[in-house]
This record gives sequence, C-alpha cells and structure tokens, in this order.
Amino acid sequence: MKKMFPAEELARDSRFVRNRIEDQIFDPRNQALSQREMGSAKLDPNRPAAAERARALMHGIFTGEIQALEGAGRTTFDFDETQVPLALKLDMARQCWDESRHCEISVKLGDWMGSEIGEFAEQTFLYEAACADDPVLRLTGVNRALEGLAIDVFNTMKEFGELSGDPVLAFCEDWMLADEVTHVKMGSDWLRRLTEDDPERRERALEFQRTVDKLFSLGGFRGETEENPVHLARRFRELAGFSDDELEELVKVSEESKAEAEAMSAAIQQGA
Amino acid sequence: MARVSVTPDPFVLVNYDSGALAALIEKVASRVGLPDDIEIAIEVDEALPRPLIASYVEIDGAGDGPIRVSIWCSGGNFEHPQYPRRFDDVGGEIKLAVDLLRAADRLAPGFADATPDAELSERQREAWDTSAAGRASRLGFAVREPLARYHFRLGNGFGDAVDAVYERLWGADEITWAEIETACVETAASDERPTPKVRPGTVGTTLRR
Repeated sequence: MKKMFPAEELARDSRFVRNRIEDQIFDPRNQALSQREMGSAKLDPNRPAAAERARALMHGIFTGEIQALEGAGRTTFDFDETQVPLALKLDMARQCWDESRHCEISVKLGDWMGSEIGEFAEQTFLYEAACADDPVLRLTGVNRALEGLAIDVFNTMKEFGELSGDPVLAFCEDWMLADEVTHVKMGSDWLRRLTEDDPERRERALEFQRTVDKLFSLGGFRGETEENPVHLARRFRELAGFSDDELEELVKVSEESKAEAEAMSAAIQQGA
Repeated sequence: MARVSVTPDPFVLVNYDSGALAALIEKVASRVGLPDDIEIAIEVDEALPRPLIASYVEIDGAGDGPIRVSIWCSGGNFEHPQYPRRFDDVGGEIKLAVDLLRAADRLAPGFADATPDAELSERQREAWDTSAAGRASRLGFAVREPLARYHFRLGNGFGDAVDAVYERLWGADEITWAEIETACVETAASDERPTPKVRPGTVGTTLRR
C-alpha cells in the first residue's frame, strides 16, 4: 500500500467534481463585487440567500470531513513507531472514527437541507495540508489549523441553526463541535510532547500552522467582523489549548489574508 | 411564442450564452402556459455568483398594450454549482419555471392585489415560490422537493404547523394571493424563533442595484 498518498489519487465517485482555489481567486466577478456595498457577510438567517449560503457551506463541511478522515487515516499508516508513538497513532485512529461519523451526519444534514452528495464542487487543499512528511507538521497543519477552523465553522453553523430555529442543524453541529475541540486538543498536546526537547522543530511546525491558517482564512472567510462569514470561536479554541496570544495572532493572520486577497484582486483587474 | 430579450448580450463575466438563455425562456414560458403574444425582458446581474440567488418579476402594460414580463435576477440563478461561471441547464430551467409561473399568477384575477416582488416579505415570497415550485414539479420540471421544503422552513420556521402549510401550498394546482396571505398568517402564528425574519424580500434589496 502506497505511503504519502497524493491528493490527485483520492477516491471519489462520479458525483464529485473538483475545482481549484485559483478559479475562485481569479474569478473576474470578484472585482465587480468588491466595488459594491453587499452588507454583512456573516452567515445569518436574515441575510439574503441565507439558505443557499448555508447549503453551500454545509456541503463544504461534508467534503472537509471526508478529507479529514483521509488525512487522519494516512497519519496512522504513513509513519512507523520510530517516527511517532503508538499512542499518537491510536489517537489518529480515534479521530478517524469521529470523522467517519461526521461524514454520516453531514450526509444526513445535506438531505435535511435539500442538498445532494457532490452537488457543489470540492477543493482538496484540506487534504493537501495533511500530506506533510513530518508528523509534527500534520499535528499543527491539520489538528491545530484545520480542525481549529472546523471549530469556527461548526460554531457558526450551530449559531445559524439556533437563530433560524432549526433544531436538527443546531443539535448536529453541537455534537460535531465537541469532537473538533478534542481533535484540536490532541494536536496541541502531541505538539508539546513531541517537540519538548526540540524547539526548532516546534517553531517549524508552528510556522506551518501559520501558513495553513492564512490559507484557510481565504481572503476574509474567517475573522471577527461582520465582513467575515465565519467567526473565530474563542471560547472553544481556549478549551482546545489555544493561548490568548495565539488567538490574537489568528485574528491578525485573518486580516492579513483579507488584505492580500483584495490587493491581488486589484492587481489582476489592473493587469486585465 | 413569447418574444424574449436578454440583457446583457453578450455576457462578459460568466460563460452564459444570451441566445441560448432566450431560447430556454421561450420554451419554459410555453410549458408554464404564458400567452404566446407576451414580451419577456430579463436582466441578469452577472456579477452576482452563487450562492447569491435572487430574482424579481414584474408585469408591465397589463391593459390595452402588449403584456410585458420584466425579470431581474442574479447570475447565480443560472450558475452551475460544480463549475463556476458555467450555465446550469437543469437548475436554470427550474428557476425560470418558478419565476414564470409567478408571472402567470400575476396575470390572473386572483393576484390583482398582490404586493410587488420588491416589497414581498420573506414569508410571502417563500409561500409563493413553494406554490410555484409544486406546480412546476407536476408540469415535469426537475424540481427537488426537499430543497423547496428547506427554503420554506428557513423562511417560516421549523415545526408541524409550518409543514402542514407547506404541504397545502405545494399540492395546490391553483392559488390566489389571498390564500398566500392566509398561509403567511398561519406560519407567523406558529413561529417561535427568537429572531423572526422581518427583512422584506426573500432576496434582500442589498443584492439588487
């Protein structure tokens, strides 16, 4: 069986279509939209087209769960016990169990919201972040950065369910949110243990986490203002082992990501 | 056959074909029973992508002159969910069927007092869309009933009383504006959400320039 499995070879049936993040960044409509007053971007039932926004995000969560399952599964297999402790692999196996339940819950939530499997395009950059050849980088890139994002997204969806009076959505998101806090905590704990005597390795891993965090801030997707569809879930991140300084840095990274995306969009339009 | 005009022509931000869209509108207008001598003008705001789905339908010139249906909609209405900027033939046909059925309703005496689209409340718009989607489904359009149900619930609340109103609207082959208003009163009475929707218009005025 192949180790270090590439994203291009992930198994999907014919319902799924992949697209590239570049298509989103270089979409010529971005510039036209940026010049309009569109109001708050926060996911809120009172916003225009709330149902479609929620369905699209829910499908993104679903494909994210598949990739999180694949990523955690690879980490149990890609490294032997000279590279990682067996207990870490067991934690990853436990995470696979959680992620597979999340996939099933997400499928049912998709049904509930009138969506179909594969209805929206999938991007595989979540899994790509899980392909680092250093297991410690996977702990920061996947467990702390991506599962951290999952905390923010699930909390946002849970609030959406509560505000819209949707008991099924609010209940399911709350269950999954609890698991994500555990996954992030596992990343925080293992990072500390594995790099206890190797500060350089820890710094490399945290730098990788910052890179992934910026990538997944997606030009303002996550933040703390009304312009951010998904908001930082501070309390749950604290429970998962994030310090106050790390939370402040995350806010800063999100703001930088938004500013860079706007600058890139403006540059593209000027060059067009 | 209806006379159709499409704006913009050509599309520059999305890969839609104005001529193909006009042909699709002609076909759908015929299937939903709009009169042959009608004029349909559609303006597509191509800068608005999925998931920003919004539309308004208005009737001009009902009286002595030719009847003209004016549709404004976001480009997201016709965008393929898997392929950005590509036209979605199936989804686009359904969207048009629902909007053109509501246009046909507006031409009927039972809708003489109907509120203009831009002033419809969330409940009114969802109720009307549900009725139109149910009829479109029975006409053979590939409407996804669970999707219509979710939209209705999000606009009106999650509960048995709301679901009963939904079933009635979905199953009705004929409907009047008064019946839509009655449905809205019923769903409002059972809506216990902490922040009931008050913003006018399903799609919100922030999307339409």
